[in-house]
Amino acid sequence: MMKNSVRGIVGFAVIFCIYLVSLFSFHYFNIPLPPALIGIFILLISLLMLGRVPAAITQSARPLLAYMGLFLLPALISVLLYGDLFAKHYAALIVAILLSTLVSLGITLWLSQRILSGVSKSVAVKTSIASEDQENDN
Amino acid sequence: MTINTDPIIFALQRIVEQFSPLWTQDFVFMCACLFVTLGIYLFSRKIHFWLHQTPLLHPLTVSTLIIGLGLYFTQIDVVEFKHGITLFELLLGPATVALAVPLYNQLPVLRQLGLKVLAPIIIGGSVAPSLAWLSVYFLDTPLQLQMTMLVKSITTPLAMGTADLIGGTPELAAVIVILTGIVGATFGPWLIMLTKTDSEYAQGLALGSVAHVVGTSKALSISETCGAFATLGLCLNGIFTAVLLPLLFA
Repeated sequence: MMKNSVRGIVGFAVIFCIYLVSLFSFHYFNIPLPPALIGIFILLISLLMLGRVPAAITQSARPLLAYMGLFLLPALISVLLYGDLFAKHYAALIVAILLSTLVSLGITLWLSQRILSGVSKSVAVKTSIASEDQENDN
Repeated sequence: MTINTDPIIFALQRIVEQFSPLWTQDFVFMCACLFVTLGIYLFSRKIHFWLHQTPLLHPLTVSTLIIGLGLYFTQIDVVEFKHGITLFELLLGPATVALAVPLYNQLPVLRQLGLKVLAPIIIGGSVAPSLAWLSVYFLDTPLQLQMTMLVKSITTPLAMGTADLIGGTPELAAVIVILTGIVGATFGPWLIMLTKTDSEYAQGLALGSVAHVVGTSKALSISETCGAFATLGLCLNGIFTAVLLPLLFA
């Protein structure tokens, strides 16, 4: 338990440094990508070079991803500042958000089914977003 | 702030500027805002869990409603409160970087299935924003809103960064993205029945690439496999869109 918290803190420090590096390169090189995406690439390339996910990274990525909603709240609260815009364009927003999402999800499902229906079910699958790779966790 | 000509100093200044609300404001007020927000968020998660995770009561909508009402009744200024929870906003960056971990874990699937996995993601990732953009374009809305609509299907943190680069509004992007996710996750199971999609891979990829994180958690409730494919769809569509849109419009 103690060991995992230490790992989590070390992992967070690493991820945070990667983010700082990506912020710096965003401003310094004027890279036309969201800074966080530059960070994703840096971390992904490091993981590919390592060939595995270090326990420290897993240990800190899990809570960060599981509680991402909390970090989104500041942006969502700003909706209170955009009340006018929403009131003015509510019809367009309903069509764009509700209708177009339904239609595009339907189209995507239908086409994906055509593409993937023949694929055998033997693909090895690991667990996803909030529960990464358990093997490194002992 | 003085404008420095040295690009290294300039870049560092921009970063410090971004973090400065942490030490330039009243510490007690900041801590109070942070704790209240954390409490409301955890409470909304509990409600969501008790009510069998219905996407309509997504923790983020419930939290936003509670905070909105709270601010209204206590007469605290929205901008001031938002300033108080800057710490959470700053943590969004590292949290987004952490998405590389699930993506790395799903790479074997991508290697194994290749184009069969990429094709649905590319379809979902281009059909959804195109349709959304067409509808706001023909309904005569400001350009700012049209640009923001283009990022509606990708995961919120990337959507905010991308919206900022292409002339949209990051905050508006966050709201539109979450609402898209809620619509996708609420009607997803029904659409799956309607289109007779029985492949779990197809279900996952479509949910992840059209309805991002909210869709992914719905996919996880269908099955682990479905969730894994949704994660892949979410990560790859986020990356493709965030790379392509700034190249096209920035």
